[in-house]
Amino acid sequence: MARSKKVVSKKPAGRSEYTVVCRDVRKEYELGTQKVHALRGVSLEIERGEYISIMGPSGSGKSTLFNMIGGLDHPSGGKVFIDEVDIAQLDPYELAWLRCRKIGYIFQTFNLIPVMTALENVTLPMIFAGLTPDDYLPKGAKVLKTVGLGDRLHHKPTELSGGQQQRVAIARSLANDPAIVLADEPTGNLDLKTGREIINLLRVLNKKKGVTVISATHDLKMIDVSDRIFWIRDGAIAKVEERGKLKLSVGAIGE
Amino acid sequence: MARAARSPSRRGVMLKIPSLRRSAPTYGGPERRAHQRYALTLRGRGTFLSVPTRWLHEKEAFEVVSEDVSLGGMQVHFNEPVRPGDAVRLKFSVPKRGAVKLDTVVRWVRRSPGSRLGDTSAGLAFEDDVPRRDIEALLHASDHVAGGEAPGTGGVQAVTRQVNLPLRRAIEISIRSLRIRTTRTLATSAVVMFAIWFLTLMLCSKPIQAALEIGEVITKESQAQDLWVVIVSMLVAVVGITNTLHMSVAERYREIGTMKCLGALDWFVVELFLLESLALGAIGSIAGALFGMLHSLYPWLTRAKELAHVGLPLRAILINFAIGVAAGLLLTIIGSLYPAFRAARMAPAEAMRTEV
Repeated sequence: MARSKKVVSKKPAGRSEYTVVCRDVRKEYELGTQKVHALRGVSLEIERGEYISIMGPSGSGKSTLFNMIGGLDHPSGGKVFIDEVDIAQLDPYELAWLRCRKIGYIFQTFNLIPVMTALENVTLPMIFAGLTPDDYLPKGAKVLKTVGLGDRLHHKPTELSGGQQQRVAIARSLANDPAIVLADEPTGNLDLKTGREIINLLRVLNKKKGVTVISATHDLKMIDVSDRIFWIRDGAIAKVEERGKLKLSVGAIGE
Repeated sequence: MARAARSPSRRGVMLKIPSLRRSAPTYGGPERRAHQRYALTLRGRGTFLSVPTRWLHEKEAFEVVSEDVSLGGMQVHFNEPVRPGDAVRLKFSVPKRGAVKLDTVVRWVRRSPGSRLGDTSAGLAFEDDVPRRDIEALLHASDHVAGGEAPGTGGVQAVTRQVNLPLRRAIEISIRSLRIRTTRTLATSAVVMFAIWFLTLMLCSKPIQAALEIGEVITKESQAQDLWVVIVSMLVAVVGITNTLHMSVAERYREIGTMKCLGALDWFVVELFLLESLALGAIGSIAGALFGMLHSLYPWLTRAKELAHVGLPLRAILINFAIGVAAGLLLTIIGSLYPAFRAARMAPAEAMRTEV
């Protein structure tokens, strides 16, 4: 099959500031005889180094949009560009490279491999990237220390609490120094305090390492740390807010 | 170096690329290239096409860096053993064009151990059938080189290090997986073992009965009956093994989806499950076939003294033993590879949300 050349988004040559661009992305599912429109023509641009939250109620399509941006699923229409390359036209090798080295993923259900220890989970993407044990063992230990689990390298996921498992997942997503971290409901299965810690961790990563963080969530605590928020409803972007323009007042539980 | 005549379309044509710095050969000797050299840094992948080295490096692409390109060829640096005359295919990923593949021939080789670019330098000449526009695309790609080594940079630096799973790591991961999931491993092996035990027993019984002249007169009906018994035992094996293996893989769909998110290629996943099922299948099949064989020899062993003069149909028994082992291995592999392959080919999001 002749492969058409990659379509590049229409930006001037040279370094573009947009690391993720979606153009009219659509996704439909067949549910029996009915068609479910999960995404109806979503277009957005995300700059390098931004912290983006995609917020919306359940069923609004934010997880679907997350899957599109992360290359985890194919859109029914429209295009997704990551650094000016249309990901639908990548061959499996390049797609694997993208997922291995350029993007790190964090899921609501942690998705750690239960038979592997924390260190082994974190170093698995490093193995895929071609590192030898001499390289990946110290690097894995270091990144686990960054997320605060330096003393639990050899614990299995079943021996860790939810917050700790999510930290391992975050460490794993950072294994190969990606440019983009995608998080799907990172605090969904966590309690308030742990959730706050995780959000803080992501924010520190964003600021210190310049990693672009894109998070699909309905946790309102994320509003505080995001540069921009895309509100999504019924498969379309309803509103885009910038943090500077938001008025936030935070309530507190009386003590 | 006397170069064979280049194709007329390229001879003596000047390529003007003002943005690139022109360069001179780095080794201080007389210019050996027919065309102007340009200095730009390209990173890409190479694979060997020559028959002898190809079998060594078939699956592996190696990293290639070039800082010196012209219409006729390029000087590259890598860490591979090459000899003049080897054919190397280079692949660079260029924005606005996609993948550019160039077939080249090695003209000269020099070792430079300790160099940051790679311990071997080689001069590669483009084959005559490489389209000129592909080479020009590389040279013009310098317009798009953002110059950064930062991840996520566009430009010609595309696939710098391969996504790979060395066999040793794969074996480690598979063995660890089997050892940790002890109960599941034992249960699955047990299914294989019992099924193959039954099959081997049925297969071996026939030659032994024939040798002992046990049983009634052999009629067409009893022969058909025996055949059917063997067929049924085979069906038990097929259904039992493939079903069990299928289930044990399908319950790990989410794990497969996760691995794909970490950058696993389809064949990594298939390889991991293949190794696991080979180990499982080997243990189960060999044990099962062994027990089946001994079981079928039981009447012989109990009456060893009186049967000492009758020849043991050893060859037939061993053949049936081998058939039992082979059947077990084959069925284990088929039963586990089909779901693994299916899951690996799915989009990760689908694999992760599949409920079994």
